[in-house]
Amino acid sequence: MGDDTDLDVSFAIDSETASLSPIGEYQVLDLEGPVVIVGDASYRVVPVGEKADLSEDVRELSVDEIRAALNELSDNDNFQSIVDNCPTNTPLVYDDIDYLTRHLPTKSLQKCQELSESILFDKELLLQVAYVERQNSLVGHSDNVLEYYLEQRAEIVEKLRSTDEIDSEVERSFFSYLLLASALIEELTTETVLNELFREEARLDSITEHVRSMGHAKRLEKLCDVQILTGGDHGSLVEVKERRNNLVHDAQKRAGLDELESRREVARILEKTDQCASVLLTISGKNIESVIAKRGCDPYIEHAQSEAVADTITIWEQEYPERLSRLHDCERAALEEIRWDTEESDPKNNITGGFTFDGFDDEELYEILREFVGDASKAFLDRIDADANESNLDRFDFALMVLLCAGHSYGDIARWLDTDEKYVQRKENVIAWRASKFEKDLVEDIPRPEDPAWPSETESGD
Amino acid sequence: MYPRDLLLQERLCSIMSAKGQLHRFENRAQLLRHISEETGTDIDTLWDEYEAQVE
Repeated sequence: MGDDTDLDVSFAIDSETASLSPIGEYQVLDLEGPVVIVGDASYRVVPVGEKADLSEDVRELSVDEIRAALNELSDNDNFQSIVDNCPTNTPLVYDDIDYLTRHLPTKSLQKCQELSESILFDKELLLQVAYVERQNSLVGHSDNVLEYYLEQRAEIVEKLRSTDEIDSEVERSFFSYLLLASALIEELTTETVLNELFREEARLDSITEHVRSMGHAKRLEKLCDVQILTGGDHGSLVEVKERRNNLVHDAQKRAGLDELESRREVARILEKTDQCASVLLTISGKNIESVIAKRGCDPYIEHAQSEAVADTITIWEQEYPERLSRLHDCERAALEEIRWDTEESDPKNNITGGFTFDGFDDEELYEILREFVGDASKAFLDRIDADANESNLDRFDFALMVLLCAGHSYGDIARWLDTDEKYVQRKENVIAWRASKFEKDLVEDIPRPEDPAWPSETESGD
Repeated sequence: MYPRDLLLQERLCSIMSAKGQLHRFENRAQLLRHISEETGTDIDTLWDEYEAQVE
């Protein structure tokens, strides 16, 4: 059926700001010690506490020896089983090896010891190789699916806009989109169930297997039970699953897109499906930076803005020294103190500190200032990302804490973070127990659960 | 295991010989400021070394 109206589609996931970290090219630099560059990000070993002693130096091994050992490991089931039991993160105050040896099941440690007798790597290095492999495979996987999802989403929208009717090309593209959306949703759901229900134990292979064997519907049900997922979102996610299953298992329905008759209907389904994926991206903690940026508590925003400005000055000193001098030399500017209103979508035109606008207009200077703030606002999101990774809380809990510290209502926080109000209340208890010095330094006052929070009388009993 | 993972492991080997925490930095400024604070090396020097080594 033809549809001559203009096709307006708006998505919940912003492809410009979605945090994509697909596996890219790697480079190793020597900057006061080895640094591995992966895309924009980089890895380096940071000493823990006072001690910074080095264990035996693997650099004494030749590249060929290292390659041979890694090749041997890549086909080794015992090594893979160690990887599968490794965590994806370790607490800040622990040396990685100290933490890993306490965390891993005895069987894995025994396998590690046995393996180290047959290859060149000692048991500690073996464990670290396994840990990096675990981090790498987990971080890379869902972000790659997200990247493919966004590409496919762009393709189906373009096809919808370039045709007057639902032809076979649109059908094929929509089907591909739905498969990728389902894959992304299922992957994020599994990750969220593991994070939410099992915490530390989620890093044990047997628990992961248990969650995978549950099936997607059961996993969604679990998330609904613990109320990280609202009842409404749960219903929408079940619809996506049913639509996907209908199209996969029934060729006739697939050909007719299960009775979607107009481009507008297809567009609405795209929007609903995208909203579902967006919910999972938020509650899995993958896409929380922009909410923290807009709604975070003042001490945290001050910390993150201050660090972002310092990061931006570091970059500008090297890349745009002349423009930076213009700002430095201006008496009306106090560069380190530049701040902007983080609740506004355009930081460049909402500068709140570090510059006095009274006096003569200097459009050229203003333009430099706006560019500086534009760069600083990007560095601001990077800083939030880094803090969320570094926190001993998981990323979603970190977001909840920073919003709770700002004194927002449970209802508002639940709405902004795509979760249930009850879940926010419960997390307030958890954060009171689990926040470490790192978080306390960032937000100053950790929220304190005080008043009883009974359900309102209008809420149903179920 | 994919070849790219092997490549990463190979290149991370020298890092992984050190005791401590494997730390992730989200951009170049975060990394260089951290190294400068940790080692006392001037950021200009670190920047030049970074530029010289990066492909």
